[in-house]
Amino acid sequence: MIKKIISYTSEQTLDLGKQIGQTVSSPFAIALKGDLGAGKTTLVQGIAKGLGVDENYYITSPTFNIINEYPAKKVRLCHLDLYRLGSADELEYIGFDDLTGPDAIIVVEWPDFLEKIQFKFDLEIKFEFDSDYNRVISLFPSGHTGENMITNLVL
Amino acid sequence: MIILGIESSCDETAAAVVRNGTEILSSIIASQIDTHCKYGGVVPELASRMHLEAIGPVVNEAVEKAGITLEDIDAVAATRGPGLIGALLVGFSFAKAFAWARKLPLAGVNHLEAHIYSLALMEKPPGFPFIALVVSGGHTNIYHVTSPHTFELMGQTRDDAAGEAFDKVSKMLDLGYPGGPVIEALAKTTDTDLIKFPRSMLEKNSFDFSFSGLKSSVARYIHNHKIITKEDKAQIAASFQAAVIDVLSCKLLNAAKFKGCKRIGISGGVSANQTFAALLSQKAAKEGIQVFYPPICLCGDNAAMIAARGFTMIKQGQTCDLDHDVFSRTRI
Repeated sequence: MIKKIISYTSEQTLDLGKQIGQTVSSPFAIALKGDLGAGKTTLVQGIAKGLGVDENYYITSPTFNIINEYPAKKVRLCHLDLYRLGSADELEYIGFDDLTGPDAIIVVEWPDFLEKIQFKFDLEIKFEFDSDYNRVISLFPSGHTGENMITNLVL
Repeated sequence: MIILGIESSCDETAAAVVRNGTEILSSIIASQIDTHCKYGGVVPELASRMHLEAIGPVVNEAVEKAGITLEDIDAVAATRGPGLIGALLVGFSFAKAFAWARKLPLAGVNHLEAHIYSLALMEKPPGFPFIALVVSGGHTNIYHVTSPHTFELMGQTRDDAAGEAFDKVSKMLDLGYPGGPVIEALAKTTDTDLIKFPRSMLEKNSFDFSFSGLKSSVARYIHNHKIITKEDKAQIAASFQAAVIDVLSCKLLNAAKFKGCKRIGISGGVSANQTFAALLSQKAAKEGIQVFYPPICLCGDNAAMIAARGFTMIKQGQTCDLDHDVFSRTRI
């Protein structure tokens, strides 16, 4: 099942993230695809809210840091941006293997290198613009974990 | 006291020799930017191996340029965090081994505090207390600095760092990397900044920043208009830069007034933007506030500032041993 919403404001993107955060259970991996300024980090801010990450943590862009990790109630939210990676073997250098685990919710912007090494994402979220520059956000689940999550997701 | 400083938190591998925390005997930076700008990326790739390849030669060059021998070094200071773990480990492990082998004290320096210490390397550094802004591709933090060891974080970015916004807007305009210098240069080619991009000030009395809305509104503007000529791009660059400078200046002046400070110090890569430094100085002068900014060679990541901060830590007995580890982000 593919779900699609049109987001007219950043609050709506935030709300979608919050619903996702409240619905997922760990371990879970999400790939985010979309241009600069499409709302990827905003969605992750919502996911953090839904997961119950302490509000004192600012969910900031991971472009420079590559990995931002936040403790939530029972899980860890790992927010990655692989834009700066030169090759798949640099995944080891950023400590990617240490991130995965039963308590990890992994959200990856620019996930190409992980896809190259056949890393399995449970959900892919695509950000596109319609002719009025509103965000069209589509959710593509993969496998049982992803399908179950999308079935339970209330939009 | 002669200190060897080492920095490897992000893209630069750097080493410096500094005497008594203020006198720079040498400062060497092996920049990876040249290698990467030809790809036009929003930010350079990690090139993890480059730190490993660079660290030995960079330290040797720093020692040689300083006109000293290894025996003259009294202590070592290296960046412990925040930054990329893999990158930090190269410099910090090198420093640990160097200090252990030569039985020297080692300071594990906070990269953000070190940026503030780049102001201590100026001919006339600001006296305490002062408001400090660390503004770069990875950070936009305001501190109230009341002593060599007291940095109260007053505000930080909630989404993108200011320097990151420069890089991403530059990418949208196909101007290449790093974005700061190209946008500043392009903005200078026009006298006007006619596009009214939003200035996100957040809540009243908040010293936090948000630049992601500005980035999106530049993207929207580019989407909605036909950007063809260089003049179009210059207008966007100038208007975008004006918005960033407005927000940074306004928050800094508010912070200074709030704390009753008569001095503001800016540091980090974006403080190399001369338009920002000039406009902020003008506005501050009207309020009787003095603005300090380091020479351009000390604005970006460098090891002299690491040595300067390390000097005050070692004097306080704040040293690291072999068990200490690096950290990727500052804990709250």
